[in-house]
Amino acid sequence: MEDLRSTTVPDDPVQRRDLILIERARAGDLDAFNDLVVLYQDALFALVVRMVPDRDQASDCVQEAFFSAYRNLDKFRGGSVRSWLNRICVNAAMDTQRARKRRPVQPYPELDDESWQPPAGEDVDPIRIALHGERSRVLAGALQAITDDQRTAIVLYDVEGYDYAEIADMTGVSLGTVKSRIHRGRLALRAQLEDRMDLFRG
Amino acid sequence: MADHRGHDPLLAAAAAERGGSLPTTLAACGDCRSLATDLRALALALPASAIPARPRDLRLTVAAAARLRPRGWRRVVALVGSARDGVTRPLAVGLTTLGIVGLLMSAIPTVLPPGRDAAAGGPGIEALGDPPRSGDRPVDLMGDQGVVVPPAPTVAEPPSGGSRSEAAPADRSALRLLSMAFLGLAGALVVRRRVRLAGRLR
Repeated sequence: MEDLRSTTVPDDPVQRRDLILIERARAGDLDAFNDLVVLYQDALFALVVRMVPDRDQASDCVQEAFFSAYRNLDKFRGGSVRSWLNRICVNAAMDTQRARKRRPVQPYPELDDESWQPPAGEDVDPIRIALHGERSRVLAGALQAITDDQRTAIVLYDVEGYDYAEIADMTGVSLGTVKSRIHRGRLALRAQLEDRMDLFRG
Repeated sequence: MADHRGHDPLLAAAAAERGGSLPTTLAACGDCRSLATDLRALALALPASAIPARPRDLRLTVAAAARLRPRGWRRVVALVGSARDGVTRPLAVGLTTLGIVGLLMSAIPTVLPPGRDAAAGGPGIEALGDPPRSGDRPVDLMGDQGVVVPPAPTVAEPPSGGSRSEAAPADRSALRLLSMAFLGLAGALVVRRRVRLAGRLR
């Protein structure tokens, strides 16, 4: 008799590796789960810190997301582990957005120190680095000035590359609302950067 | 040239999408083209912008892992106050009720049945008052007619330390202790549930 059970093994080596680590973590191997943490903590932090423009709060948020993932390992039903972790992080970030109070503090005040990640590539031109740093600073300030919903939609679309349907599913709103948030968010960003658009042109 | 003020900026925002383009009505407007270009530049600048470095390592410690995925009896205790907990509240209400009822019963002496060494006559003996002493002469109801009324059966003296109508002090103390134990357990359940709920809502 034909075995009708699904024996699909992901072709993607990354996905295969992640599934093996998840299975080992479920069996009680903490090191396997921490291997997943090491693999994804930077990418998840980069996602969340744009949604929650506070370095320490973003770090706490990602930590909570990993706690939640570890606690609910048995609920993982297959597919992309990265996407699963992303969803948990986005939910945690939205919870943090709702909980935190708006404070008129400068975002990323440590921009002037060396804690910022250097730009990719071997470009060591100090002028380009300074320009890149200034561009990042004003963009971060403008991002904080728009609404949480618009910021979330823009980050998920422009940075993470999710499409409208995926963002609608993750944030629990309609497709039309997602489009509206992205478009209005970008217009709001541009309005914030009215005087500094020369940094982004050309 | 069409008046730019009458043009919907959301159309320019939609044109800034990947592969988007301005509708012909707006394509002739220089301001709309400039707006769409700026929005596209911001969309490209965002993923390339620098972010602050992750402030700490997010790997799980052994203690955190044990707390998040407890095993054995700790898993049962962890269920108290968890999202899946549907037992704690009714259990705490039941224990509180039993505790209060028990304390009331132990405080009212006549509610409880008499102690084990009390009257052999069974319930209702409390209404008789003091039993006749063994040395008493029977009451001659017939007066001078010479009829001798047989002596009333003697009733054993109740144990020392109280009237026959009161329950044994040991029974009351035991009931009081048991009631306080119920109340204490109910209180512990309520506190644990509140702590877990507060942790989830924070």
